[in-house]
Amino acid sequence: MEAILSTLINGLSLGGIYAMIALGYTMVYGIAKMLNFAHGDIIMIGGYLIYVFMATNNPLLAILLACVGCMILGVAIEKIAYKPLRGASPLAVLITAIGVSYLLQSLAQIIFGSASKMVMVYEFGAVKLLGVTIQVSSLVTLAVTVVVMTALTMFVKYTRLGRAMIAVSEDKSAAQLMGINVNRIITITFAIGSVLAALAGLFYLLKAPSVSNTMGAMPGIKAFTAAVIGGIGSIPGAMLGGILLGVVESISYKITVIAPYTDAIEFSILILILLVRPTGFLGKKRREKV
Amino acid sequence: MRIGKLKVNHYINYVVIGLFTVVMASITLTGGRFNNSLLFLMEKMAISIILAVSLSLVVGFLGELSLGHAGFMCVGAYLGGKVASLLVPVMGNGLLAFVISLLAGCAAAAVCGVIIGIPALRLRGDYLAIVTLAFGEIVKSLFQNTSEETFGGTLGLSTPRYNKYYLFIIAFILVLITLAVVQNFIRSKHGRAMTAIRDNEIAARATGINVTKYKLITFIIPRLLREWRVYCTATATTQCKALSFTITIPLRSWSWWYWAAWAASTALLLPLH
Repeated sequence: MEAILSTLINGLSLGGIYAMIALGYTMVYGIAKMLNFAHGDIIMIGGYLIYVFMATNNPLLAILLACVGCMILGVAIEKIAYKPLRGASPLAVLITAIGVSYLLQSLAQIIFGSASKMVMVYEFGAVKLLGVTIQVSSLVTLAVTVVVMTALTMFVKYTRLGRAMIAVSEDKSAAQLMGINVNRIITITFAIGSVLAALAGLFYLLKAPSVSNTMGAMPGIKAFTAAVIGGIGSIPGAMLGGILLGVVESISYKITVIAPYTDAIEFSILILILLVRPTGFLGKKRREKV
Repeated sequence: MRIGKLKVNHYINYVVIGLFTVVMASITLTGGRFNNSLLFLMEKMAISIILAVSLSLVVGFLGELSLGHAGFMCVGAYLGGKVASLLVPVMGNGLLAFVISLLAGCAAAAVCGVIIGIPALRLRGDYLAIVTLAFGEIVKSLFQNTSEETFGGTLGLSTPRYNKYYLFIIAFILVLITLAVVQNFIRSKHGRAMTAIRDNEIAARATGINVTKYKLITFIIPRLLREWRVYCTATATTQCKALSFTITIPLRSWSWWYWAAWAASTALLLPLH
C-alpha cells in the first residue's frame, strides 16, 4: 500500500514535469504548426543557467534569471532559425529544429564541458504522510504544475492575448485579417514555452541535482510523446498525457522484470493509443477537403 | 538537360558513380592500397548516398515524414551483424558470408517495415513522424537490454569485418543497385501513383489508387535498401576503433539518431530529380 502510494506520488510529480514540457511542445505546435525539437534542450540550458546563477547564492533569484534567460533564448531561436522558414516545407522546419537542438547541446558541451555538474538548488527534505515518506520536492513540483496549468488555461480562455492565440491556431490568415499580429503571437508562444522548459529544468534539478548537456534529450522526446498522447495542440491534453506517462514510468521502474524496458513500454503505449485514437485523447479531428 | 533523346539527369548519377567506382576499384584490384582515412571516407560516402536516396523515396516522393529510419537501420544492422558473426566461423570471411548476412539483415528490416507500417500508415503527417520516432526508441531500448551472448547489450554487438580494402567497392556497387532500383521505381506506374498520393491523397484515392498499399510499399523498399548501408556502416566503423587485427565492430544503437538527422539533411540538399 505504502509502496503503491509513494510510486503514485513519484509518478504524478514526474508526470507534472512531462506535462510542463509537453505544454511547450503543444502550444508551439498549435500556433506555429511546427515540431520544436529544440524544446528539450532549452530544459538543459535552463539547468545550466540555474547552475551559473546559483553563484548568487539565492535560489529564487537564480530561478528567475534562468527563466528570463531561457525566454530570451527561446525567442532568439524563433527569430533567427524558424522565422525565415515560415511557409517552408514541414521537413525543412523539422530538420532546422533538430539542427538547433544539436547546436545547443554542442554549445553547452563546449562551454561547460562534457562532465555533468552538481547543482543543489534547495534542500526540501522529506515528510511522512499517511505512513509514507514523500520527498517535499515532488509535492512542490506537483503543486507548481497544477498552478501553472490552471493559470495558463485561464490565460488562454479569458484574456485578449489568449483568445488571439486560439484564433491564430485555428486559422492564421483569418486571424491576420482580424487585426491580430501573428508574428507577435508566435513570439509570445515561444517565450511562454521556454519559461515552462526552464521550470521543468528546475524540477529535474530538484529530483536529481546534476546537469549535463544531454539531460534534455530524452525528457524532450518523452514529453513530446505525452503531448501527442493527449492530443497535440490541446493544453489539458498535454497535462493528461504528461501525468499518464509519468505514472506509467514510475510504476514500470518499480517492477524489476520490466524496469529496463521502461522506455519501450512508454513508446508502445503511444503507438497503441494512436492506433485507437489517431489524434490522441483530446485532439481535434480535422476533415480534409480536396 | 537533354542530349538527343536521352534525359541526362536520369543517367548522370550512374555515370559519375560508375566511373568513380571503376577507377577506384581498378586501382585496388591491380594491387594499389588506399590509406585508412580515404577508405573510410569512401565507405561513408557510399553509405550516405544510399541512405539519402532511400530516404528521399519516403520523404520526397511519398511526402511522409518518417523519423524511424534509425530504428529500422538498427534492426537490420543487428540481425545482419549477428548472422555474419554466426556464419564467418563456419564458412570463412568471404563474399558469400557477407552477401548472406546482408540479405538476412534486409529481410529483417523489411519485416519490421511491414509490422510497423500497417498500423502506422493509418496516421498522417506529424502523427506518423512521432510513431516512427517511438518505434526507433523502442528498438533502441530492446537491443540495449539484450544479454551479452545474444546481441551484446549496452556494449554493442561485435561483428566480423569484411576485407577493408575491398569493402568500398561492394559499397559502391550497392549504391549503383540502389540508384537503379529507386530511379526505376519512381518512373514506373507505381512511382507515379506515389507522387500522386503526395500531391493530393484524396484526389489520388478518388482516381482509384490504393493509398495504403503504396504507402506500405514505399515503407518497405527503403528498409531493404537501407540495410545495405547499415551493414556497410557496421563494417566501416571498425576503422574508427583502429584495432587492426581484432576485427570487432561495436554497433552502438544510440548513435543512429544522429545518422538519421544527418542523412535527412543530405536528402534535402540533394533531391533526386
